[in-house]
Amino acid sequence: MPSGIPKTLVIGVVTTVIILLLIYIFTQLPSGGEPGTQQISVNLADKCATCHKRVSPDIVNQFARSTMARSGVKCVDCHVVDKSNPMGEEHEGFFISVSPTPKQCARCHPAENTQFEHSRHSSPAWMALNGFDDFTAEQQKIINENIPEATRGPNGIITATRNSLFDIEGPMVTPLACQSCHSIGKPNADGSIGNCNKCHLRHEFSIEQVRKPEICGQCHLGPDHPQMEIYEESAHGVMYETQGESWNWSQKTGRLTTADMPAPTCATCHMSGFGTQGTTHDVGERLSKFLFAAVSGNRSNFVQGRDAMKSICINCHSPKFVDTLYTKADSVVAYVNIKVNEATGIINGLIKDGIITTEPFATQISFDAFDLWHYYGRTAKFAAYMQGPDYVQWHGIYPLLNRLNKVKEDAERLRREHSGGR
Amino acid sequence: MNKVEIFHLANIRLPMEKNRLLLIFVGINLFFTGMDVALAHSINHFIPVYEWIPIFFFPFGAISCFIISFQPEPKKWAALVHIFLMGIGLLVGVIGTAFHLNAILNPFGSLTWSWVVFGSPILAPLAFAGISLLGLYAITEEAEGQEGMLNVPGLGIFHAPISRDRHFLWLVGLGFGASALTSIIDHAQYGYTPYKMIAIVYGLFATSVVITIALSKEWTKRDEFVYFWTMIAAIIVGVLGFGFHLSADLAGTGELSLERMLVFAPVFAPLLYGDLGMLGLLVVAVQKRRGEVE
Repeated sequence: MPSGIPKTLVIGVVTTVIILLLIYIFTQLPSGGEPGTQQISVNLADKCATCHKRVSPDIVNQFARSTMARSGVKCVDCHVVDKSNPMGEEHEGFFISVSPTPKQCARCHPAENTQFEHSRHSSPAWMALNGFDDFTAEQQKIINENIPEATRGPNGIITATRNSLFDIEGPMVTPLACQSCHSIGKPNADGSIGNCNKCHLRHEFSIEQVRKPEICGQCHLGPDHPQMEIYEESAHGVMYETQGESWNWSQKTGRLTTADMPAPTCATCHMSGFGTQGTTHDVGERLSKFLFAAVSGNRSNFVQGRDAMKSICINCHSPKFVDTLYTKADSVVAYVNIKVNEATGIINGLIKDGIITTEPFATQISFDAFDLWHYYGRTAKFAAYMQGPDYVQWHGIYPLLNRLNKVKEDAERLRREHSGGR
Repeated sequence: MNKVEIFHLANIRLPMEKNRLLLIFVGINLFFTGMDVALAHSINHFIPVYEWIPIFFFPFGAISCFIISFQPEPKKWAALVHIFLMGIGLLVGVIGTAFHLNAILNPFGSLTWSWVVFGSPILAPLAFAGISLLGLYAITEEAEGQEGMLNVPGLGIFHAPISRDRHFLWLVGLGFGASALTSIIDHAQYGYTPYKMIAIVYGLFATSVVITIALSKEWTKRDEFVYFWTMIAAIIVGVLGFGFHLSADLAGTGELSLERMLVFAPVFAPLLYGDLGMLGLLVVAVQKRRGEVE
């Protein structure tokens, strides 16, 4: 080996040390302040922005902050549609759709749209209210292919029917009630299904926003599906509330790790690319049971769904912890199933004996039997998997048992009354 | 015949003549860089549409290198097409850098550290420019004993201010520099840890060593010794980085997801050090004369 210190080594070491010191100093410099205090300088001087800066400046400012604006997407790219589009209309020399549908979004985001079409956020959300009738033949074909678990008749045709409560309440109520959320899967006149804008709020389409639980909480709250409240009670939700400000919400899709978000939000577990899971817009992809149903069975993708969700959990928890949680939660589901079956048996018995009719919500006992599973059964099941003990107990199983007792007592009373008090 | 000597420190037998090997090296690099860009741009479905530009370019550039490498004396038309394509490659790299720079301006039009770190990789398109320049120099011949007199097939003789070998050394040095900078920027995403510093410290050191050699009128055997082992270390660091990145993508689960490989820890990126290490050795390799070989 040659002796002495060569100049390449000296220069190499000295230069490396100097550059490392410069990098250290640079990274210690204060940042340039909050973006909100700076003036928007994105060039949006196109024809649309020129007018809309006057008539609706907020949407122009929102879009100016968006990633889409930075990528060079213009208003016309989403709003201008083909002349044959039934949702289009003439507007200042353009033929536009005021509310772009997934058909427009899918031009740039085809994978996301396909995943969405496979999900229960898509057509099943609307079918839960309106049945199958609103969908065109082409849309029904998509649904037949994409939703294998939909209820079907002996000929294989989906048999979803209109929700009776939807008809009882009627159009004076439903547009601002159940339809508001369930329209996430409403069929559109241009052949597409759904509304991306339900979650990706216009016109900023912020990834930070859709990663926060409040977006899901727009619909997933209240007595029939209180996921938002359950999340707030859980340790995950508490971490979000107390530490969420410091999380890296703007991390690129697919790059999320526990370093960015030390606790999950709804999106992290159900949709984000995390651990071994790729990003998905099929919100049911990582689910294994139909918890929304009165009696919860396994989904057709039970094994894959459960493995997928567990692989998210193990980014923070041990496999043993995760397995134990699932075992305990499955036990809650089994318990609720038994109680709901018991109530259903009582109601069916009353119908069979001609004591009450099959007309939905015609008697108080029908309301009670509905609340039993639709409010309390669901709440207990959701809370079991999401770790919200108060919602398993006091908002779930306890009122369920209370309502079951009421159903039993009312059934006995109705039978007595039916037999003339004998 | 293809025995070469690297700074009196190693004698190796090349599978073919050095210049042809350089062209194949450039062709393979263009191919893999192009594939890497295709995967990266596919994440956002090639939007904006100009993300297709490098994808359309790289197959032609790579094929041109392979064709020329199999011609003992490049035909004039082939050489001209090759020079044209390498010129396009240079342009693609420069324009791509401008596009990436524009893309990382935050919504308020200013450059901030977080957007540099998390936005489009600014220096990545320069890989096309660097590889294309290498492809351009690879078809030139330097007149014996006349440093800087470069014979460009089909175009004539040009007088460059520095020798052909020094051009190559500069490209290797700048390649290490860009890789080190990229390493500094990319690794900032999750904070610097000791093993992430390996790539940064080593990259800066290798850049300094190669550029010192490229700038020196003369150097000692000790400098050659440092250069040689720095290049060998580059190969080791590259393989080590590949292991670290693969481990990060496995996320402790033993399973790989395509999305993670694409956007989390790019598994093949660290191999760029190995690539530059091999190139660094190849460019200083001197063909032995028959008498020396025997």
